[in-house]
Amino acid sequence: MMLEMTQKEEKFIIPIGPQHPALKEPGHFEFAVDGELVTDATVRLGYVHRGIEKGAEARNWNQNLYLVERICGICSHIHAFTYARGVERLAEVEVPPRAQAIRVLVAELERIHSHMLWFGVAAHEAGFDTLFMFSWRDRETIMDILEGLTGNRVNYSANVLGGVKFDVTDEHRKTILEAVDFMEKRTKHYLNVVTTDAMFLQRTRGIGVANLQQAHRLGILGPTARASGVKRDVRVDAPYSAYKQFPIKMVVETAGDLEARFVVRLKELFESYRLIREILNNMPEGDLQVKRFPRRIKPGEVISRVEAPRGEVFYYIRSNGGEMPERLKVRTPTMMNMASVLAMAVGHQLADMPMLLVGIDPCFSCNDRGVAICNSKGDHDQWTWERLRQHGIDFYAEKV
Amino acid sequence: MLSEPITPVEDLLKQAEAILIPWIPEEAIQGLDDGYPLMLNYTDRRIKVTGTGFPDCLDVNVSAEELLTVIQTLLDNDWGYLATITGVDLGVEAGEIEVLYHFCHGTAVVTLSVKVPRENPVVPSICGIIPSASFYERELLEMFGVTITNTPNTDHLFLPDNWPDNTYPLRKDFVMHAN
Repeated sequence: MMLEMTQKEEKFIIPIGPQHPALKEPGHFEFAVDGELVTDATVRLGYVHRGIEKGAEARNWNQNLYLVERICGICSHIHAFTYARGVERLAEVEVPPRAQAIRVLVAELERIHSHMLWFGVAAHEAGFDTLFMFSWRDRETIMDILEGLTGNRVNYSANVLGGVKFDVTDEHRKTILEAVDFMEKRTKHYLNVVTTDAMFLQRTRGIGVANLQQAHRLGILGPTARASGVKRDVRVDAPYSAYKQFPIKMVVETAGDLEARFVVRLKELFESYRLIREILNNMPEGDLQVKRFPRRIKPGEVISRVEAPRGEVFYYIRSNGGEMPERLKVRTPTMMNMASVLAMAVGHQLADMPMLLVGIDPCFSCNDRGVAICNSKGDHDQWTWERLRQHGIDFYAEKV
Repeated sequence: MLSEPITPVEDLLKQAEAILIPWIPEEAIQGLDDGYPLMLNYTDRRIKVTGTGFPDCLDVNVSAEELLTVIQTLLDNDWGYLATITGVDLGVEAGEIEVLYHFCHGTAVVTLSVKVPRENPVVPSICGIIPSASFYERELLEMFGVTITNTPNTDHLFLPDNWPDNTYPLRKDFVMHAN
């Protein structure tokens, strides 16, 4: 198989996907290879394109809150948060401080479980399944809290237009603080593992490097960008909601490789823990919702930006004065980060692809995994994702 | 860990106004002391009539011919990054499609608005200056049918390969079938 790949005048294409574990939306990647080296990469998206932007134009302002929450199963709260914030601005409704604090609290809890989920999957792709199991066990602590607070593990529906649905009681406060202490201890351990474990560093250090200039050119967002030294975090650059009262520090690394992406995400968690404690200990008093939220919203446009676990979420909302939006535009961070993978893939080993893809933290919602290898003569060899992953692990095991 | 002071949104917008001054219509500038620093009156500073006047936004109407020059000017002055490109179908009656280029810098957002006729919508590709815009342009092309001259890739990004030609789902006259 490998010999055939190096035949002259024939570009070898390795299609990966569309059923693929390393993407929020199942995506179809095609890697052109020269032997083991990737020489070109393209992507095809849209396998779970659900027409949400179009659908939003046929639903009222309130219904859309629940529609946008279903854009992503991991950062569901962030979408509802961004949307609600935009619509409230457009309607000139001031959300009570306590509701804003609760929104940010849930957003940070979501960031923790999202980062832990990513951390586990990334460890799995590197062949470090013990780390995967430990981190996912720990993640359950946060999932339990979210379920206790909202009634749901995912799609918590914490928001209503003009506030939040539930209060945080003293009992909640105690449970969350205990959980945060536990998570902080675990995160310290994980940070130590990813920066010292020789086997793990072999898969991350110096791999998939995007320097500051490249990161800017590729338009990378979120922790992936901050790992390349891009000082960009909406929570800091344009503080919104309760981040004004409870500021957060930006975590930036400069190496730009996979290791830096691990370090940024884990260090970011310590800031989340600090912020959660601060919010719980200084929770503003007051109402949870505004008394009345208009059904019709006056004509106008608004831009709402929020820092999701994966980077900046950008909403553009336009109202024509009716009960439904005229236009709802959603730009998620994964869209830009996916483009960056294509650029970063070139020149890397095929064995690095699984780690490179997970490095940007796409969502892992797919269940079918398949990689097909075929050459230009039409010969086929079916690879499962599992086999590609194993190929990566074996490739590096031989090098030890 | 870093904690740098945030540049006030007024300063950022002043910079943007100074950069974009050639494209800001005179009637918006009139009545200001010397016209500089601009800080157009916030309540009516949005140059677009539909705007609601958020104090962190500056919207400028630009023609398709001028678009590349304006964006290049913003980039030369190191003002912000392209957040996304939004298409808005203004409807069959209005007969126009609006293409919005959003640039973010800290708290401030500058939106360049290009209006093109619905029957023959053409905008230039900005990939020559911002390579990462390719995905946004592909989305704009397949969802609104806006022709983008010199864009490097015109393949479908989100819609299926067998999607019918000349059918653009985010146009207002595209009706979704009830289930």
